Parts: sequence; structure tokens; C-alpha cells
Amino acid sequence: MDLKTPSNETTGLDSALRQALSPPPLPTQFRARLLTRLANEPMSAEAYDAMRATLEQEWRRAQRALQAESVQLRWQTLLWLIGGAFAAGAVTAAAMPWVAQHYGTQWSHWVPVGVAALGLGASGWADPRVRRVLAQWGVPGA
Amino acid sequence: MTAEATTDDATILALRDQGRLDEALSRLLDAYEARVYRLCRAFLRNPTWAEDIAQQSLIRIWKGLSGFDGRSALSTWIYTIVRNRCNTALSTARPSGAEDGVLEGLEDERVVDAGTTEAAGLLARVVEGLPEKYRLPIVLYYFEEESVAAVAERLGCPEGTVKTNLSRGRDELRRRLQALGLGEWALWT
Repeated sequence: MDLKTPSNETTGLDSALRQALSPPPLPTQFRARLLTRLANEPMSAEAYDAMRATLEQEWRRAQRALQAESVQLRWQTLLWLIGGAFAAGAVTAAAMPWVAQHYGTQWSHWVPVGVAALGLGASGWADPRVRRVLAQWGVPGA
Repeated sequence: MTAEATTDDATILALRDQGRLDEALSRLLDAYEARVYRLCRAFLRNPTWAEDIAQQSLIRIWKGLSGFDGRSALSTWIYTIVRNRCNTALSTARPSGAEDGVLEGLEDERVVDAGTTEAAGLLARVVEGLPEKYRLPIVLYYFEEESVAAVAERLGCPEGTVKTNLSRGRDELRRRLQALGLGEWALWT
């Protein structure tokens, strides 16, 4: 059949078929009835299995993400501690002789204490959880 | 498959993957409920039966959508389910008067004036009497906006096969109409 160049006969038959076989409209309330049936449909074993597999997959994905985040956080904390300890040591080593010379040896003992307090403060400031607590207390800039 | 259908399919699957199931169902029905119903009508003929099987198919499709793995196009998978449902329905039960006796009384209607809707009804009945491999492509061709590609997709066969069966079906239809004394084409125009 040449659909592009129909003969008169084909054209006549075509238009008759078009009239005879017009697309049936969707019955009224088709979707409403379908949704009611769907709501009353018991869940099949296949559907249970599929849902269970999907949920397990999601749970495993969440676990992996949580673990990766936790490891990252632990590394970050460790690096902060090491960096802080080195920085505190360096500041103490540099500041103690200068303080002893200008203010006497009794004051130089306070240098490590002050540096430790500063280090703890800085670490705490960098920790978002501490900042949240400080913000709740109304500390400016937290 | 049309570009619109592809976009619909991608959206439905994306919504499913995001867990937005209500929206996925809504999009699925927007895109497919009418097509599924027309396919069922073409297979089963009887409107009530077609609605029942179309709804059964859509429920099966919705329930199976979570396990759809994308190895074929979504539309291909959907139409395969619908065809299987229709064939199962046809093989297990057939409502009375759905198919049998479609040509009964046609002999008496040879003299019917093929002028308007009566002629259309008569022609539809002659089409109903065609062998299934010719009837289905012809019916779907006019149900689906005269697109051979759409018919091939619905029936899950190559476009060449659809064209061949359309052509042979029309020849058979002409032969039957002539045998009924309705071969005067001017009457149908």
C-alpha cells in the first residue's frame, strides 16, 4: 500500500475508515475508578520484595554516606589537634624567653597556660557545634 | 517512540527514583492511560471489557514500575504488559457478543445507503470480521492518528510488518465489501 499517493479508491476507503474507526475516548471517571482500584489492591509479594530491595539499597547508601562523613570528621579533628599542638609549642618556645626577660620567670609559666587557652578557644571556635552553643548564648560573631 | 513520549518516560522514571510516587503515578497516567485504553479497545473490542483490562494493566504497570530496570524503553515494556494482559483475557474468557457473530445480518444490509454514520457502522462491522493480523493494525492505525510507527510500537513488531498487514488487510477489506455489494467507492467518499 502506498500511503503517500493513494488512489481515489484508497482515499474513499481511507476517509470511510477514518470515520468508522475514530479513536475511542477514555470512559468518564476512568482515572477515578482506576485510583480506587489501585487503593484497594493488596500489595503483591513481588511489590513487597521490590519495595524491600529499594529500602535496603537506600539504607546502605545512607550508611555509606554517614560513615564517609564520620571518617572525614575524625581526620579533620586529628589534623586540627596536631596543627594546634605544633602551633602552641612554637608560640610557647618563642614567647617564654621574651616574657622571662621582660617580666620575670614567674610570669613565663603563664605563657603555656595562655597559649593552651587560646588554642582550645580557637579549636572550639572552629567547631560548628561549639559555635552553635555560643550563638545560643548570644556571643557576637558566633 | 515520539520525543514527547521519551521525555514523559524520563520524567516518570526520575520521579520514581526520587521517591515522588504520587507525581510519578500522575505522569504515568497522563502519558499512558488513553493509549493503553485504545490498545485494549483494539484487542478486545468491548468497551467495558477493555476498560477493565486497561485498568488491570495499569495497576500491574504501576506495581512493577519499581522493578523496571530500563533494559527496554518504558513504552515498550508497558505495551508488552498490555498485550499480554489482553491476550490472556482473550484466551481465558470472552464476554458474550464481544466478537462472535459480528457479520451476522450483514447480508441483509447490502442495500443500506452508505451515506453517513450507518455506512461507518457497517464498515466497522466488516473490519471486525477481518482476520486478527489484519484487523488489529487497521484499527490501531486509525486509533493512533494514522501513524505506522505508533502501531508498530503498540504491537511490538517492525514497521515493515505493519505496512504489509495494513496493505493486505485493506485488500481483504475491499474484497469483502465487494462481495457484499459495497464496492462502489464513490459511496464511501
